[in-house]
Amino acid sequence: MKDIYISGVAMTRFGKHDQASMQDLAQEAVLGAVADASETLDNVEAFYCGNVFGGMILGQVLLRDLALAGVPVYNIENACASGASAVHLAMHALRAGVYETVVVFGVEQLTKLGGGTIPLQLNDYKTGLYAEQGMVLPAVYAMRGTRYLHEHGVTSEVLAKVAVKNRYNGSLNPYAQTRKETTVDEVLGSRMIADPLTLLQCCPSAVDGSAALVLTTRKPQGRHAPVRIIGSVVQSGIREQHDDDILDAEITARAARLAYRQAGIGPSEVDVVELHDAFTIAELIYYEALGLCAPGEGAALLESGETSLSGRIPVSPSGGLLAKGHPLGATGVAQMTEIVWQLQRRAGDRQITKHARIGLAQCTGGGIAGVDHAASSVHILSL
Amino acid sequence: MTDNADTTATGRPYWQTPDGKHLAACEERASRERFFPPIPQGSPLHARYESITLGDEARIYSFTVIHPHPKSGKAPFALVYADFPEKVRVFGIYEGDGRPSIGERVRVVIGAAESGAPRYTFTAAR
Repeated sequence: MKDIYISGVAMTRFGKHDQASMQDLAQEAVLGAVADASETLDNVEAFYCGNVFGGMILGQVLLRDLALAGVPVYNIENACASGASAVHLAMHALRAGVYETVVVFGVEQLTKLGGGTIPLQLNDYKTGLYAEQGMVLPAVYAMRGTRYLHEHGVTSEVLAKVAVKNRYNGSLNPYAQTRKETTVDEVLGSRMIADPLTLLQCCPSAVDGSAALVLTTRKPQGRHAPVRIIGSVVQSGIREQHDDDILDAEITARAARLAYRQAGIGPSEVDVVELHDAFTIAELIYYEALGLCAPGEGAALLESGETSLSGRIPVSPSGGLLAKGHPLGATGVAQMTEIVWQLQRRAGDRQITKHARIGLAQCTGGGIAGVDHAASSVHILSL
Repeated sequence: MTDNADTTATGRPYWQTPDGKHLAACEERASRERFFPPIPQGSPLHARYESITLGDEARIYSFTVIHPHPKSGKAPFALVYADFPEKVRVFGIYEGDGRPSIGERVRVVIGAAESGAPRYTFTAAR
């Protein structure tokens, strides 16, 4: 099977971009990635656009002024896993030999939605009924948090420490929306949103941004060590059963097992991780689902310091969704951008201490009732 | 698309039993798995399921308390996952005197929201 390389990456700063349009954001990322790859737009044979709320034929609209020669543009939506799903689909085409070089970009401008919780997908009788009852995404994660604290006998303080860690990492990241460190007391003292999750335990919902990758089957000859994608998986949620454990993150665990098998590695060989820390409890649950620790040991792993920038398995070195921000369609691509920078030791002040060879990016797309999540994607990148 | 106020031939919402006293669920004939709310009658999949009735009581599996933005003027409210002995888990609003707790017995109350729309809630079982 052909090797797929990431030959260039770029992203915009994540944050409120009052003066920029979605076109501006997407073009900045795309042009940046192409330049990073020492490529030209003429050599790009297709574009894959990950986005959730931008509307129809978004990719074509955003790229129109680049005066491309009519190459295919594909628009992919899988909620928060849109960008990663776009990478996955691009890889299919590259492996099949349809293209040699493509660009995948993700973009979102959530500030145009007016803030508040992300809308659920209501073309569903179950989600509609539960939404009337008050189901919102923070509630779903909050109930996981409640159950986690109950089962493992830990307090909200451990949840707050996730935010403290990631806000520290974000303070070192010029692309992060939130660049201010915080403390456990500040996190726990922030406004309660959905008990036990306080405001600083939730990723901000008013954020814009874009990220882009150049994917190619030609081995890059540039100054940076080549990065390959050695595992790429997308999975859908399985209908929930009455006795499901809401802490087992089933869809993520399944996607991770498949990705590890594809890559021919196990969790212990992963050196750095970007995961879907939309809420603090998510990071602890995903430690376990990704096999970074044994079931039930997520809190202990965090407390050990091993997931810090200087630890054995740094997690969310970018600041994660909590600090860097979560413009939905851009997130999956931005996670891989960060992993590339970490592997190539281009991450500046937030560069992890260990010399990483393998990185993992995981994101999930939710928004409906009756499944763990609608979509989960895991990518494994390697020098 | 099914509206949650959509009524069956009896005039009840599809998630209520015909007598309006209990929550209705469904069991997939092939797998014996059970789900709430039931598959709507208009679904092409409807024949794969048979109706079941949920009892009056369940136990809280997990919960949260939502705190609306202070500017909204709305009071906090509790949401629960309630596990029924009929092997069905249901999400809903908890209306009780205090904070819910995991393992607490709750009772289903079928009524109407302020808008008049039919709804169900959970309250502490006595």
